[in-house]
Amino acid sequence: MKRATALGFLAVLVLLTVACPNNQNLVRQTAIASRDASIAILQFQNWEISAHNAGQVPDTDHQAVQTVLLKVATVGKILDARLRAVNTNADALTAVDGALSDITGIISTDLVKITSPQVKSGILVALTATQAALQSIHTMLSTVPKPTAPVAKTDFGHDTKHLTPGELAAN
Amino acid sequence: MDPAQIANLIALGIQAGTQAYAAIRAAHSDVVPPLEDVLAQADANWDQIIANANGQLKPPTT
Repeated sequence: MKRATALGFLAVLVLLTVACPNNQNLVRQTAIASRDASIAILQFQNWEISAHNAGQVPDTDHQAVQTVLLKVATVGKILDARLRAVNTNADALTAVDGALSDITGIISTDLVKITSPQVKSGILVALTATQAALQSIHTMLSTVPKPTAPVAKTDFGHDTKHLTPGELAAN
Repeated sequence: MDPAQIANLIALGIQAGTQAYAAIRAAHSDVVPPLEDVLAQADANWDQIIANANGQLKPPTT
């Protein structure tokens, strides 16, 4: 079961990576990352509930996991709402950074309460994949070239010939 | 590993493979889903996770 879980979430990690081609709108990439993360986490949640019902996950871990998932889903909802209001790359960067910070905080503070290694590794893979996708988008948003000022066209469409000092003196 | 676990492993592998294939195909397609469609799918999943979690965290009724 542990291998199955690891395999499933490893595949999701690949999915999150390949679903974000460089040539698409970065806001759309962020939305796709949010959607793919929601799929991965929903699958994990369904598995965890089944495992708990089968007596394979202790009650305390089950409560801790569901609390974490509730927080993660809330972060996802906030991210989606912010993406709907994005007008600029700076807006998108703010939305991504907020979600990235929240997910990083959840990984560092909330997962310590989970004692079952199998459950912990499953949720860690799902959250780390989400974190990696957001980090990748953060990097792309941060490196988008800023628009440059239009170059003044002074030759009015004609080839400009630069005169040498000698030619200038002769004219 | 018992047969049920092997079957579960195969099912997960097929599911993951199908999703990865769909994602690769979507990534290389000229047809890009509208942003609102993607966000609506994400929101529906997040809502389901929230509903499931609230259902699990609810104290048992006596």
